[in-house]
Formats: sequence, C-alpha cells, structure tokens
Amino acid sequence: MSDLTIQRGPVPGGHLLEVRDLRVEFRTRDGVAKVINGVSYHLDPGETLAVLGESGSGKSVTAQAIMGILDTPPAHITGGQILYRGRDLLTMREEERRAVRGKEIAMIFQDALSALNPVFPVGWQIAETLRHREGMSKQDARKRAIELMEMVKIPAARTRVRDYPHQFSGGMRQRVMIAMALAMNPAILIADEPTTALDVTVQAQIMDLLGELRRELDMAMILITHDLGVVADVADRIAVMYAGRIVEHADVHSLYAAPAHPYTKGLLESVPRLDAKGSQLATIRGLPPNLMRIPSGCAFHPRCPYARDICRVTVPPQQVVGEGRTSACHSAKEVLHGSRG
Amino acid sequence: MLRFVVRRLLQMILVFFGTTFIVYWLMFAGSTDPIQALAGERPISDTVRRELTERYHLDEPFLVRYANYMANLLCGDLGEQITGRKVSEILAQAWPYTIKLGLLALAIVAVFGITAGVVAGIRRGGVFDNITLMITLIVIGVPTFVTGFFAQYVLGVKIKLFPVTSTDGTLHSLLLPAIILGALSLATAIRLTRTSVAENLRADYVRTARAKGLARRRVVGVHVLRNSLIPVVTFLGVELGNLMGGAIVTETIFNVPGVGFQLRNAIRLEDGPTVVAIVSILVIIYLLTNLVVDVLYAVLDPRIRYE
Amino acid sequence: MSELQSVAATEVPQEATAADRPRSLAADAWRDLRRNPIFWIALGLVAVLVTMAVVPSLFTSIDPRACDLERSNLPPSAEHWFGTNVQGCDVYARTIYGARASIAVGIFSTLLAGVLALLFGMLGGFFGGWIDAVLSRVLDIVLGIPLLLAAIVFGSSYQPGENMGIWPVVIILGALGWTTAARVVRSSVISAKQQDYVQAARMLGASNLRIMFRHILPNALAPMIVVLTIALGTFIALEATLSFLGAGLREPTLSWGIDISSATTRFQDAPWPLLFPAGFLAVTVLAFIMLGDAVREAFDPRLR
Repeated sequence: MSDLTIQRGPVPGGHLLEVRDLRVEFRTRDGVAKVINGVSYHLDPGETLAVLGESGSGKSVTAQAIMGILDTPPAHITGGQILYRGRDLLTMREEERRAVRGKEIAMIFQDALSALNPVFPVGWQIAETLRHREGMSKQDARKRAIELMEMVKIPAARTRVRDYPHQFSGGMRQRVMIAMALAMNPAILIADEPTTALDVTVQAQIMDLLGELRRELDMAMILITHDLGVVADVADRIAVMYAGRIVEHADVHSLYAAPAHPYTKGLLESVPRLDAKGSQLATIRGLPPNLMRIPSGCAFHPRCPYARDICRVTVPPQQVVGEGRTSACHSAKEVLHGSRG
Repeated sequence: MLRFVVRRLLQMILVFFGTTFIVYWLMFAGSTDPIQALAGERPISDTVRRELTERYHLDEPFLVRYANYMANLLCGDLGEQITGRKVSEILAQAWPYTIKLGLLALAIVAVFGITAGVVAGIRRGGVFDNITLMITLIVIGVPTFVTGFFAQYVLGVKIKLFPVTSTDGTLHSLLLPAIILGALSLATAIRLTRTSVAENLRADYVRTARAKGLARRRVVGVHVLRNSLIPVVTFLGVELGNLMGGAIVTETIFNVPGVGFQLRNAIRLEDGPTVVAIVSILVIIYLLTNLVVDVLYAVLDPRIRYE
Repeated sequence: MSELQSVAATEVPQEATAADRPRSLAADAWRDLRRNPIFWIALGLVAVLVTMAVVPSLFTSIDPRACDLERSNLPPSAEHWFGTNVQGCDVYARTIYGARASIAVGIFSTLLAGVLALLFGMLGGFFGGWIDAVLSRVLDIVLGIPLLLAAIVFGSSYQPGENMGIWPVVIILGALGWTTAARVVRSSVISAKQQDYVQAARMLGASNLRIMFRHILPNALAPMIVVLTIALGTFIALEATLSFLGAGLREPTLSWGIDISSATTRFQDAPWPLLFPAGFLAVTVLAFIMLGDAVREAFDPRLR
C-alpha cells in the first residue's frame, strides 16, 4: 500500500502542486477546440492561488485535469505534466490517481443544487467518503459529518444532517459541499466558482468561511472565478487566463496596483467604480475568441489597444516583469509603466 | 404525506365512478332494447322478459339502474351471466391464473428490462445499445397477437420447447405466455431505463461523486442507479395494471383460463353483464395500482415528498 | 483595494465562443434527420403504404372480393402471388386493399386524437384555474380505463350488421387515445405561457385567442406531433388487435386484422393467408413508429 499512500509534510525542494505546460484539446464533430495551450502554475502549502478568467478561458478545465475527472472523449490531454508532491499525476495508474482524488486534492463546484445528489440526505453524502474510503463505522461517520457541518457553520446540524439538498438555501448548500470536500482533510481545495450562483451578501459569507477554514486547516486553495471583487481579499497570488493560456501571474497587491498585461488592465478598468458616477462604463472591445480558430500570434491581439505587428505573428513568451511576476505580452513593460502613476 | 394520499384517494373515487359509469353506459345505453342487449341475439319469450325486467329493474331510468348496479358491485354482487352462473364465481376461479401470469410477466420485465437498459445506457451508442434499440423497436411495432401466435407456432408446435396451451397453470406452461405478455412492457422498460441512465450519467452530481474519489462501480451502481430507477419503478407499477388488460390477447392465444379469457368469451357471446363486471373490476385494480405507484414515487424521490 | 471589494464586480461579457452561425433547434433537428438513414427508409415505406391505401389499383388489378370457393387455400403461384385464403379470395389483392382500412383508421383516429389533445391541452394549460381542474379530472377518467379494455367494451356494444365502415373504430381510438398527447400539449402550453414574449403580447393588448394561436400553438405543436406519429403506429396495431378479438372492424370491411383473425384456424395447412397480412401489418406499424422515433430523437436536445 506504500505505493498509494502519499506522505504529508514539506515537499523537499519543490512546490506542493505544479502544473507544467499543460495542453488539452476537445475533439468534437465540428472540429478541434484547443482549450488549454501551455498552462503552467504552481501552489505551495498554505497559499491561495486565484485563477481568473472569463467563460471559455480554460480555468475550469485545468482544474478538472488536475482532479482527473475530464471526460475523455471528447477531452484529450495532449501534453504537459501535473506534479503533486513531485509525482506526475498524468502518468499514474487510475488506482493511484484515485488515491489522490478527494483525499489529497478535493474540489467544490458552482451550483450546489445540481452538484449534490438529490435523493440522498446531506449527512449521508458528507459521510460517504469516510465510510467507503476510510472504513469508518456508520455511527462514527455520522458523528464526524455533524462535526463537519458545525465547522462550516450550518445551524442545527444535528437535526439537519438527515435533510435533503433541496431543503437548504443556496448558501447553506454550498456549505454542505464544502463540508463534504473537507471530510478527508485534503491538502489542497479547488473551488470552482463557489459563489457565482449566490447573491452578494451570501457570497461574502462563503468567502469568509473559506478563508477561515483555510487558515485553521492549513490548507492550500485554488480559487477559480471570473469575479475580480471576490478574489481581492482571499488570494495571495493571481493567475489570469485568456484563451487557454496564462497571460499574467502576480501577487495580488501588485496585480491590482499595476497590471502588466492589457487584458488584466482592461478587466480592472471595466469594474464600475462608485466615484465614477455619470461617466460611461469602460469595456474591452470585441469578443472572446472561438477556441477552434484561435487568432495567430497573441490570442488577445484583435482586442488589444497596445497591439503591434509582432503581436499578430509571434506568441508572446512569459516575460519576467518583477519579483515573482510574469506577463505574456510583447509590450509588458510598456503596460506596466503605463499603469503606474 | 398523509394529505397527499387522502387527496389521491378522493381523486381515485371520482375517477372510479366516472369510468364505471362510462363503461356501463357504453354497454347498455346504446341499445334501444336493454333486455335484448342482455340476451344478445337470442330470442326472448315474454315470461323471461318480465322476469328479467323485474330482476334488473329495467323499467327504471338509466341512472337508477346504474346506481343499483354500483351498489351491488360494492357489496360484492357482480350479477349473473345469462346462463345463470354467478359472475363472482367465475372470476374467483379465473383470477389465480391471471395473477400468476401477470406477476411472472412483471418479474421478467423487471429483471431483464432493467439490466439490459442499464447496460445500454452506460454504453450508449455501442453495439449492445444499437441491437437493443432495433429489437425493442420491432417488439413495439409488431402487435402482441402476431408475436404470440408465431411464438406459439414456432416454439410450441414446431420446436416443442413449450406447451402449446396452458390449461394446467403450471409455471412452465405459463412461461411462454408470460414472455409474450411482457414483451411490449419489456421493450418500453429497456428504453426507459436506457434513457434515464444516459441522462443521469451526465448529471452534475456524478462529477461531484467522481471528484470525491469514489470508485466508478459505486458512482454508477449507487448514485446513478438510485436516480435512474425512479421513473422505471413507477413505470413498472403502472404496467402491472396494463398487464392485466393485455392478458386478454395472451390468454386467448394460449388458452389460459384466466380473467382475460373469460372476458373475451363474454364479448363473443355478447354477455353484457359479465363484460361490464369484469371491466369494472379491472378498472378498480388499475386505479389502485396507480395510487400505489404515486405513493411509491413520493417514497423514492424526496423532492416530491416534501411539497 | 477596499473600493474594489465594496463595489459589485463586473462580469466580463459572456458571448458564445462556439459556432459563428446561430442555429435554431429546428434547423439542427432537420440536419440530423436528413443524415439519419432510418428516417428515409421509414419515410419511403410510409409513402408506399399511403399510396397503396389511396390507389390500390396501382398495385393490383385483381378484385379482392372475387372469391371462388373452389380455389380455397391455394399456395402462392404465378396467378395468385400470395395464394388464396379459405374463401378462395386472392390474398395479395386482399392485402393491398386491406391497407386502406388499416391506414385510414390510423390516420383519422390520430387526427381526432390530435384535435382533442390540442383542445383539452390548450384550454386547460392556458386558462388554468377551475377549467384546468375540470379538464384534468376528465383526463384522469379517460385514463382510468386501459385503452384496449375500453375499446373492447365500446367495440362490442354496437350491433353487428350495421356496417358503418371504419368510423366506429376511428371514434373509439381517437376519443380514448388523446390523453398522452393532451398531457404533452398542456405542459408545453404552461411553460410557453410563462415566457416573456407572451407577457409582452398581452401588455400590447393582444386578445387571448390571438395569443393562443400566434404564440403558444407553435410551441405546443412540435412535441405533440412527435407523440402522435408514434401513436399512429400504435393505433394501427390496436385496430388489428381489436379485429382479432372481434371487437373492431367487421365484414365486409377489408382489413388486415380481420384477415389475420380468420386465418388462424387453418394456419397449419395454409400459413400464407396469415403470414402476408401479418407481415404487412408489422411493416406498416414499424414504419410509422420508426418515423416518429427518428423525429423525436432529432428534436430532443438532451440526447446530443
């Protein structure tokens, strides 16, 4: 069994999780969509990495590739590595992969109502992994389920443990999902748009809860979202994705203060500000690209105010623009200096 | 939950009276001479005519006749055949055959239908799936009496695998009729299960279950199946009622002396009272099974339960 | 930084990144249908059968009622392609002419069922309230009798000797078989009623009738047509079953059900008078059901 158990503790000379040059294609009847085109990022213990991007940027697909729950077909992983504690998940056998899934790396999803099984009580679902993967007895698992529900601040957990998902409100359901994901004490939690389906006040509560839990359990977190507002308080670092690539990677303060990529700049500028009442909303002109026909060179060039000739031809490499900051833009330094001041 | 059952019971009573009224009306109101309707084509002497009129209150208006009939029905008096035999006696003898036949057919449908449907649903588009679709289509398309007839001829007469008729009511002799009787339901059950499984396999909660690291066997065998079987089980419940009706054809072909057989004889002999009596009983059974199925549905699907 | 938190985050415009041409459900469905070989086979069969029903003389010149008892139960030959039945009638001719009754029953009972389904479904779904409650009870009552049973009772209650042709059976099947289609219509009416464009039309002063016909009817038609195409096949099969049991069409109407029923007794000596009508019956029912099935699969977005 030693093959399948993974040691905890500091990772000697490496990151906890590292995605290296991941490439994923979706092969459909209508053509091949290049959904992920060379994505690399890393995560260290106790960190929160936010992956920011709009629909179709590939942020969820990357997470599903990490978890190993992509539907193949139509998805095909065509290149790259995903290293967890130094071992490449993509080369593992399925049983080894399953040992990691849910236990070391757990995931929560956007819409808790459809993500939870409607015919089983929530306590049963939370305790399921405890009973079937850790061999706990029914009573012990149930007790632990109640503890977990209390940890995520669901009131009257003792009675509500027998209730069904549709009997909870949206925010409570999301807490149930979080409790379920944390049942086996994972080292990493991937949260895929956890608050998108909730209203603003509930959003804040859930984000606070995630922040607390992360600190208490000393867990690393990947937060996937399209919502700049959600990210600011919780994340340590941000990776911005566009058309299946990481276009900017920075710590959260630097990114908000001075973005180094036109896309990030556009996103930040389009956030409505309370003190800009009366003026027009800024937008990024154009539309996100069709992933079956990604523009040549830099995928963002048709919409970019800084575009030059080289942008049409050459895919921009990741340029280091500061301490622990990269930007995939031919005009990165220009954008960066333009943002400051 | 209790309110739900009570509401459905009340509906059921309403529907019961409505349907039996229609059946009674169809049988008796159409003909201008009710006594002639009772006797079919046989000539009736005056004394018999007077006696029948008195016995069946035939000089009273239609509604009163219906009311009398229903009152008798609910007390268990199903009237008499033209020959004088009590209908309830005939039915009591015939019932066991039909029940055995029906349950056997239902068992075949449940076991093979669900298994085949699950396999087809999991490997949608595969060889098994396409073959099953073709076969089920043919079964649905060819009327039961044709398949029954051919099965009897090929398997009973030519190959002699099964007895040609089942007058003895043993399990072996009822096997072929049960297969034929259940064939249509089987085809529908397979298709229903297949669609339900295929739909549920794409559901979000399956993705969550996989993300929890559960084995595929468990994800499909517990999570998907439990959701997929809800419409199938309710369908099976309703089918039991339908099987009773469909037994008419099967019992006729295979000479099984059950309720359907008696009904067909009654039709041929134009025995009005028997026809109405049998159909009324079958309607009650059908309504009852529907009620049970509705309750079952609430038990199986918690979303319905807490309305 | 705190401003960013306190302000509602903007959503980057979510545009479709998939196909460039907008595609409607109907266009997609037609494309799938075109490629489906089963659709074309079924359509071809239906066309041939309908022609057979309308113009039987195209297929044979023999009179199906020219029966010669001397030539009873002959096997197929050059003169009688399918042989003769127990009364000496040419089986081929009877089979061709029998198509008319069976298909006509199928088509007309489906039309009747469709009209009733539309009526009940639209009135109940659109007006709701007590109208819907009453109509739903009526639906329950009709549903309360299994179709075959009710048809048997009805079919055996009208006196023999009155030959009204196919119409009694048509009325029975249509009047009892509209229930599934009505349910489908009702639920699509209810969901269409809640669409914004219906509210908009109402606010612009459109009358109920206009809303029903212009906006809601098109939505209800598509799923109903799917149900009815399949029902057509089942009605044809039901008619044959009724005739087999003696509660359907009667002589002198020519139908497959009657022929099959009367051929069962001498089957061992002369299988042909049963086999050919049975074969045609099976093919007809199958053709309609396959057609309806193909249409349904093409229109169901969930099965993509």
